[in-house]
Amino acid sequence: MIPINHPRFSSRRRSAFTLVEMITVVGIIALLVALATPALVDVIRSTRLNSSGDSLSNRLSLAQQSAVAKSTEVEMRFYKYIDPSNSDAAATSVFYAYQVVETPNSRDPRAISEVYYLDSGTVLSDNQTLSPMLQTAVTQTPDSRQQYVFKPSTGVAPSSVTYSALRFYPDGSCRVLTGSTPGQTAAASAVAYTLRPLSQTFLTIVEARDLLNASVPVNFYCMQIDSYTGKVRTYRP
Amino acid sequence: MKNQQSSPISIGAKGFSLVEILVSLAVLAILLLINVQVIDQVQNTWAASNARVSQFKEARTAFDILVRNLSQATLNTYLDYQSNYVATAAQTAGTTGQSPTSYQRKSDLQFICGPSSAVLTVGADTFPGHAVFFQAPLGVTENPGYVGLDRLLCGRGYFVQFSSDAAFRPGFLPPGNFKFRYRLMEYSPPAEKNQIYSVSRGVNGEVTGNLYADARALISTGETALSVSKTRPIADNILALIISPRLEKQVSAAVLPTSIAPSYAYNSANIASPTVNSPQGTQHLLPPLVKLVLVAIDERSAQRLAEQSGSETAPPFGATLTTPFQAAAALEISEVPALVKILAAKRVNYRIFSATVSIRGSKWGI
Repeated sequence: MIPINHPRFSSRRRSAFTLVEMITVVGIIALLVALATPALVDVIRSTRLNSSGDSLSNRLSLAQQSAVAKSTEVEMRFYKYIDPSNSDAAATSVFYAYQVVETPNSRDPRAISEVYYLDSGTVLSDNQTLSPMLQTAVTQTPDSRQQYVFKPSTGVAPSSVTYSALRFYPDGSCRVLTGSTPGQTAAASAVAYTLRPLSQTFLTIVEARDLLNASVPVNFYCMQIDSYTGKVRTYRP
Repeated sequence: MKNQQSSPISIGAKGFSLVEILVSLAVLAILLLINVQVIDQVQNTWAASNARVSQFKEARTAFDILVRNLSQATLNTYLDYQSNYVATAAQTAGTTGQSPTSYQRKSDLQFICGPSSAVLTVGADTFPGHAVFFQAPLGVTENPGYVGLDRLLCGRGYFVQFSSDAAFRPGFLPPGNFKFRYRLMEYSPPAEKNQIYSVSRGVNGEVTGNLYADARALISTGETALSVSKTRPIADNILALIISPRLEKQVSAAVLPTSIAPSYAYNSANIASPTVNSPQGTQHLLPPLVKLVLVAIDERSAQRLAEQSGSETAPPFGATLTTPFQAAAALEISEVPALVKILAAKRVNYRIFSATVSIRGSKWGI
């Protein structure tokens, strides 16, 4: 009637799990977790790569549109510096961040966006075959008030930061920084930035662990930018 | 007590019975099934709307570029004597004189539009719809030293082509899996490569060669900074581009706005519809208005079309995209609806962009 009072329950000790049962269950759970983890880690990695790439390609479009809307030249700078805290490439100069900068003729360049850092675990490749657009990097120079446009958050000296740049023009076109001295005047920047052929205008985000690999990584997010129209087209494996 | 001991269920009562488990499993399965269906539906809708938004964003950008550039088209016309500039031996010797035959409107440039198959002399299957070629002061140069010269004359052209992305996608991507799509192509040689400087000319200085002959030369994989391809895709999944030159208003009941290009073809180098008062007709004149219609589909529809047609490399619509367009006067009334019917039959997600561009350089009334 009332089972708890029944003598058989206490005698057979059915009121709790035995140690063996518990160990079996925990074992099964551990096995499942162990099987699922690698797949899950891959999913997380590729999600991060995706979101990193999506935000960059959206911001490239935004920069292009703001150049058209404001009828000025707008520059997307990709900052490269050595970050000792990066365990994958502690001694290598890596592209970690980017920013939209306006460069009025003969005046100091001015940031018109905040600094966007790529999601942790993802970096812009500087490999010639993966990112032909990011082959020329020039050293950041201080402006007339001895200020730098970009100061890394990790305490790296701003004078050691180099950058590659894409420049969007009021007619919607896009040129790549290929000269080593961009200068501050319209004449200097006209020569330093060149119109590249479509087969040379792409850049690729890779996972940080693939950065120093010479071969093409398994997972990547490649953005191709049409020089004439400034349009971004993306390629995923 | 007694009851529990005697009943066979009494032992089973400590756990669940098989029937209970089965029932609960069945309920769970039904719930899961419903869940999966809902998630699937949401995911489909999301992906479809996402594809549509991004696809049509690309088409709209390309359409804006087309409209902006076309409105700047120029012919740079001038008035000059019609006379043979190549002197004969007798003229050089001074024994005979040379007198001009007339005083004419002239131009070294050309505006040409019409069915791609005729303008580019190519097959209508891979080049559906119409093509337009013109000259405009766009100032695109290869040499960075010319950057200040932002009004340099450039040739421009637009047409739709069914092609693979093998030639222009980044070189490190694994070969294979090329995407064959209908694409809006832009012919945009830099100012240095403008054919007006090298094309063959007749004795009166008129253009006899084809100013846009190199438009068909597609992008090459061996591109370098100094040999840039002249034709590039500017938007994927554009099925058709229709171009109809028009007058600003209907002159009379008999003369429709489309009378300057009744079957869409217009070539500013040709003498067309001459009259006694205007023996040149529309030669060396830009049409005052150009009606543009662009038909874009989304990437998912394009994928489905490729799967349905069975062959990745063959254009899924064949020539059916070009055949509805025969008479410019019927463009809005019956021709665009005919194309829409074709698209609807294939259950394609499409969008039609349309605009009437006024060409600023046109001197029609003068």
